[in-house]
Amino acid sequence: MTFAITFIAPSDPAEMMYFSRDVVPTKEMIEQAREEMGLNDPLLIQYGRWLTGIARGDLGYSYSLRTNVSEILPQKIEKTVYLACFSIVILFVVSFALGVIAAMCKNRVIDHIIKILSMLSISIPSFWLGLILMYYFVVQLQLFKITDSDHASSIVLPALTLAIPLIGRYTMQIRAEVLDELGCNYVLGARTRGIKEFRIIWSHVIPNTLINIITLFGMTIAFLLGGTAIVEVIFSWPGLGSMALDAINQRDYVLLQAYVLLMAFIYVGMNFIVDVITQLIDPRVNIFGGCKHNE
Amino acid sequence: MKYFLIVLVIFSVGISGCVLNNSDSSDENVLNMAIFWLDNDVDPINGWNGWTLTRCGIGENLVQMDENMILRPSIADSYEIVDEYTTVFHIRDGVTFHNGNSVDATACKASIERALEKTDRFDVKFPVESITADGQNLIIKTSEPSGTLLNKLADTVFIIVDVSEADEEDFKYKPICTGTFKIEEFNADKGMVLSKHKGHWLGNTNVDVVNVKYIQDASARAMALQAKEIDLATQLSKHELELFEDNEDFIVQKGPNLRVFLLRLNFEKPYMKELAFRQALSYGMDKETYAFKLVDGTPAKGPINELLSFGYKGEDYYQYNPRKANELLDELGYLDTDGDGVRECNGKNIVLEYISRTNHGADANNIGIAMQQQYKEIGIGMKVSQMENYADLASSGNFDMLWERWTPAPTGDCQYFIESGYITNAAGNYGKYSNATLDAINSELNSTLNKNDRDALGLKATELVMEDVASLFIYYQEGNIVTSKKVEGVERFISEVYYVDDRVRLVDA
Repeated sequence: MTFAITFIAPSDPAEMMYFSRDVVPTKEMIEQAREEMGLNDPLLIQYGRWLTGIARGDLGYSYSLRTNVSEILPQKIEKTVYLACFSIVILFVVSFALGVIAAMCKNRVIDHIIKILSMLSISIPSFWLGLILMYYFVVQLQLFKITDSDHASSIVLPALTLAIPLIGRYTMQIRAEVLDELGCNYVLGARTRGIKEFRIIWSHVIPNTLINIITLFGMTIAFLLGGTAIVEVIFSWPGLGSMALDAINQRDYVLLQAYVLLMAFIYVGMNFIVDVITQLIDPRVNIFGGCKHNE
Repeated sequence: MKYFLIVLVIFSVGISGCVLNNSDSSDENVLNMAIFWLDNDVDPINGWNGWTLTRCGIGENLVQMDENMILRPSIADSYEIVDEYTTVFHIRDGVTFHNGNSVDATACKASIERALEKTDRFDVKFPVESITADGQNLIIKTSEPSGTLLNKLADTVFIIVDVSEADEEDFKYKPICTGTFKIEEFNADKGMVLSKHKGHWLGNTNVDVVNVKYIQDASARAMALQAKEIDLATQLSKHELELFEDNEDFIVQKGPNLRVFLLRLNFEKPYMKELAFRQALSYGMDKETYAFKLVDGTPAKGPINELLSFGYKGEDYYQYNPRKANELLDELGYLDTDGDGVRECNGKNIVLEYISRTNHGADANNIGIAMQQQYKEIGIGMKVSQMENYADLASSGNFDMLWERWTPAPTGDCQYFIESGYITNAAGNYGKYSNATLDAINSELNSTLNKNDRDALGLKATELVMEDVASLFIYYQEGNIVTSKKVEGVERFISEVYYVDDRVRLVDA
């Protein structure tokens, strides 16, 4: 489907390749480029060639980057996975802590403060947050560098920029889940048996809450692995998002198709991983169908 | 928010505290500079990739344009134009490639031939009869009179490289050139690390290492300057520039560069064939407001910046004057007979299609919207569209105004913009403009070798396209370069093809 959509999309990729580089092509140059890119063949032949290539592990040749796609993707994925994992750790730790605290302190001052902060974080645009973080932590406090992406600390600001707007959303979600659980009979029973509140939360409420939250986090990881172009541009962080954006602008369909394929794998893979984790956490769930009955 | 900041600070200190120890303990003089554009490789024969080589002092040509767009010898220490077909260059003694190989006429011949054979830049090719190497003399004979040979050889496509290494795997990432600095590391995502070419024929710089950092975002470049991570940055926005203009730690150089933004008109539309109509369009737009308020540029009078010898230096032919525009349209008989506020041509409302491409950005769209409002005052309707299939529309002629950006004289010669965009059937002449006088000037330029004569013809062509309103010229881009006080010897080149060269020095080194 992606292949067909890119095929019928307006603009000639050969022409766009030159335009994107501010080169005014002659008709001969365009024709030669079309021939080299295999664009003169019918859709089915192009698609068949692409499928055969994929089966052999050949993702094609990127005309905008003038190199094999299979060489580009691993470099970009590495940076994106690193950033996504770091962001998700921040997101998980902070939003769980805040969500649980807010639920335990329902309708008290701390709960209201967390709710207000959550609303603020949801409302902050990423590009603005990125620039503000950069200004305070790089220019004013000089704790980080903008230009040193190999340095271990260079991950912090882009990861925070990605995580903060999501933290508000997840904090509210976790607060609601924890409040639901706190209203359950087993919590009341545990309290009447004199079990400490901390143990009830830690050993019973949080594991039960996790089942619903894990699915949400799984999809967020997939979203972050798709790349976030704005953050990547601001922090000069060369990941999948800015690569995909450039591929669209330059009509580099080969690169774009490889990206879509990769994203499909990531989403399917994340769904599977989430299902497995859910079953590990909650044995009542059976990802292979059917259900287990508690005796 | 305060709570958040405390968490962030603790987190940041925790992470950075143990790893941040960036003091440069080496005795080497290190220059840190930012570039805003870097392609996937730096082989000069590919597109405009050679600009990275010249901007960072890596590549040199036989002859080059200086900061004022005046041709000067470089690898060739002299040249002689024998006749309209033949030019003889004398290659400077003592020039070496980054790998230590000496540069002679044979090496230059191989480099030029490789560029002519392999480049995708059609505009810089020239018809070769023969290229002969004789010791340090390089003789180039063209099969047709070629008045632009020197200018074309000054284009970055013709940066002299050591062709004996061109088949190496990493040549496109580390081409062997002759400039002040050579590439040690290349990473298309991050930038480059350069070291001093100790065998450079001038050898003036005291900079040992250049860290070239690729930072796309202008705000990030400005902050990197403020944080003293870099010593040199270009292409900052007007607001960011204000941070450095009254700051004694920085030197700001700015002014219009060669890039012009224009609207190509479609001469196949019946109303566009009328000179008075095109004049009315020109009178009807307030270029000064667009340039100063919307895009931080300089209003354009014509295709060529007046800083160039063939740029028009007088008053703008058609300054904003809606009353005059209305008079011209009335005289043409394009009246609003149905009272809907839009004039008609052959019984149909005149609603112009204004097209720009998505990656032309918000400026193109904003100017279109401003024009749309101002054209209402003269009874002309306008539909402003920004789209992806720009190339299709350009080819099909389904437009009235096409937003374009041009570097009309990348090598300091007037013929490129005429030949590529305005002569009859030129590759970039999507509006089908045709003017026999302009075509004749272009033919005359082919056989005109004298610089002053070429400039005179270029000025004549410039005035012609302005007077004839071949396009609506909107604004020239404002170029800028900001350096920290510790850097000396950096000039702002009008062409922006060069940032640093052998003159760059670190003051307190």
